[in-house]
Amino acid sequence: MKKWMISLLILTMSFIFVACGSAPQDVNESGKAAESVESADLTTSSSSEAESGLKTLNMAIFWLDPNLEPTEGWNGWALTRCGIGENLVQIDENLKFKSVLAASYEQIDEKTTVFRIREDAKFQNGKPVDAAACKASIERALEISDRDDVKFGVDVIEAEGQTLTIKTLAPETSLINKLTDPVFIIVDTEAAKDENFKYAPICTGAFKVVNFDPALGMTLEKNANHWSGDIAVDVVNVKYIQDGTIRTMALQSGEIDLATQIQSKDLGIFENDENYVVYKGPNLRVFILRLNMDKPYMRNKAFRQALSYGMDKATYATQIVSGIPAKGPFNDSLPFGYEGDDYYTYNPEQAMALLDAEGFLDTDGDGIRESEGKNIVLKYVSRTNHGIDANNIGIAMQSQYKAIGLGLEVIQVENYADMAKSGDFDMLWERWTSAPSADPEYFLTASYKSGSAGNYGKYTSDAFDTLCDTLEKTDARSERESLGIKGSEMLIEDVASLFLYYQEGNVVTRKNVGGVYRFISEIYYIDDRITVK
Amino acid sequence: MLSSGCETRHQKIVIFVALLIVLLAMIAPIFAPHDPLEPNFMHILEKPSSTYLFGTDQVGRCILSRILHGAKVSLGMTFFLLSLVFVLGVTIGLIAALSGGFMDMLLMRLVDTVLAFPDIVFAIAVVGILGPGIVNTILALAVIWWTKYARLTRMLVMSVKNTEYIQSAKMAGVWGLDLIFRYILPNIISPLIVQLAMDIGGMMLALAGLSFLGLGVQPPTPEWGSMLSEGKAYIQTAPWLLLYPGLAIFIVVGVFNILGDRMRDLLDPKNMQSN
Repeated sequence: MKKWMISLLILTMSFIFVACGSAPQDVNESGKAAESVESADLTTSSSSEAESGLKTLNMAIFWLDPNLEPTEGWNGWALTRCGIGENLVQIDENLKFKSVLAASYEQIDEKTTVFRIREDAKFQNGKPVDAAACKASIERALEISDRDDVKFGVDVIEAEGQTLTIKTLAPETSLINKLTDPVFIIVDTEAAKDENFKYAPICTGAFKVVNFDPALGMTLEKNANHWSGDIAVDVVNVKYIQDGTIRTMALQSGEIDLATQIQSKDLGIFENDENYVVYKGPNLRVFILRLNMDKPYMRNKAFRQALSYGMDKATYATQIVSGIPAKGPFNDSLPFGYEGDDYYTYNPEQAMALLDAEGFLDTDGDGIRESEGKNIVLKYVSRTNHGIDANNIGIAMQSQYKAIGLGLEVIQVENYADMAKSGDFDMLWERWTSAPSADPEYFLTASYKSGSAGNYGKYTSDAFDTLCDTLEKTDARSERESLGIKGSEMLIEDVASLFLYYQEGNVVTRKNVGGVYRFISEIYYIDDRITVK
Repeated sequence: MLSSGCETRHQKIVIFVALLIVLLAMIAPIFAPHDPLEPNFMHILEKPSSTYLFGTDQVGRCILSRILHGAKVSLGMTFFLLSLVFVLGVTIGLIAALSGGFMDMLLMRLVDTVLAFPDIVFAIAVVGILGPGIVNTILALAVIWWTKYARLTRMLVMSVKNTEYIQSAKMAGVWGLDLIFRYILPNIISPLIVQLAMDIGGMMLALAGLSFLGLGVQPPTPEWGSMLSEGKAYIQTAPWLLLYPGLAIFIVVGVFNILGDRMRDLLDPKNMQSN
């Protein structure tokens, strides 16, 4: 009987603990617990580095591709984010162009741009970076990259000493924007002939890759040849941690010093703790649900409008993910962001009226409307590492769509890319940094133009395609921006996707880390300015 | 060492608690204070309070209501699955033992093959191929779980099929299903029931485990394993999301494991003889 009494007592205490404990206390308790259970892997390596007197930064990133070849897809982002790769020109923390490997540049005319390469720039293997090396790197990217959206037609690239001249076939107002893309990270093309290059590329950044494991992360060491002088950090251990909760715990336990994309609900833990510094603010990331136009009901514009009317994205954004409700593909802090009123705000009555009018009726009385005699149960697909927010919004939508007579199956999968390519979805959760080079063309063209690689939903619109073509040929910055706004409005009005929310980006560091800047574009996390006390 | 009277009292308590859990699961909708599926965006991640006794989850749903409705799903799936594998396993075991020869060899090698795989790993592989969902989860676990009943039944039938009373029955002209239902099954059912009772906890954990991995019950259906999975991201900021479904699994699995133990003691032929 005693055992039963003790068990009962423990249970009662547990209930009281949860019911009466305040959230921050729970946080600290859990944090301490986490400290004891987290793997000792990194702390072991960092402690040995500390013993040897090396300044070490342990950081976590939420995304890592299978290799580091910058010309493949978005692989180069890991290089720019971790200070490994540099472009001639980059986007700074305030979305302005910043000369990096190019000490200066000048657009001579609409087809010609001249770059003056830094005299003291060297590759991480000690080879000097001159105009010829930059030319070879850019030509290599143009030749082998699968990213057609950032390519440009070249008439000639001339290299003379430290002067690089790029002449394009057609006027290229967005040339500088395109050259800021990580695809055009300057690499040693001789070294790139080595098979191992894609795992340890030779670039020019403040840190060079010593070890790369796509499942675990990277070990970097400082580039003694960097043009900015001595780098204050000797070693960077980059941990690939997909799960936001684990990134939080790793920061709390001291396993890492810097983490990005901490989940909004966990941010308060660090904001209320003087041992951490939180950098946060709007970024360029937009979260969307891509609609599959191959499905017969999705081709019906009224049906898509009903989908948009039927979900309360303003509440999802503010209550579930602590973001900003999205109107279109671009945040309206950008000069080409759509600033008008949202076309379809939450209005379930309007959604039902549209569905009724279009003949999507519930004839068998099971609460779900039918299309061609079958219940409409939409497939909402996200990837496992899209995290809990994708699932939570799906759950919220499930309930609101049920109220208007639509079923929704919410699934998180590992084989997301296969499902996206094969069109095995109705709604595909996507997150995009929609204007990484501060220009609208890339996202509009790569994601919605008929036949483009990223247009998994097979959206097609002649008017929109024409706009993309015009955008490609337009030079004047203001005209490009107004075309960006117009293109956004077309996508919003036509419900090409459900634009859900813009994220508030964040970088959280321990107090001993300095020289951190929160880049709005999120292409960069650390660079040569990073310090560790 | 507990006295016989104390043991009987314990058995009664365990059976009472187990029945209470089943009853509660059946009438959960009557007690649930809120709709377990309805998000309430104004009450997201609320701590336990008088309105929400177990707090609310990440989309504002009442956790108590979800646990009560989840009991129906978790226990319902467990009992359905166990019934399925019990019937399947016992039938195959009977066929193997009574047929003998090639059929026996074939069926038992099939059992050996299936048992060569770790059960949960095999189930994950099956669900991975078929896709997540309740039906596929039940199918995946059924594919594995019938084997232990088949093997046990075969062994028990082999031990009784040459006994005098079976031979006498045969000589009296009793054959086929009549023989099975009147003479064989009644003599082997006790160990099978004990096995069944002891498997309730294990099966419940297996189902919850698959749901935790996102392979079993899909949202928004309330199920304890999937509730744990959804709540794990909030372990620091809202631990009640994990605590209550975790406790529910702990208590129910514990009670049914004790029940299995007690039934084993109760139905053990040696104990029955000594009693």
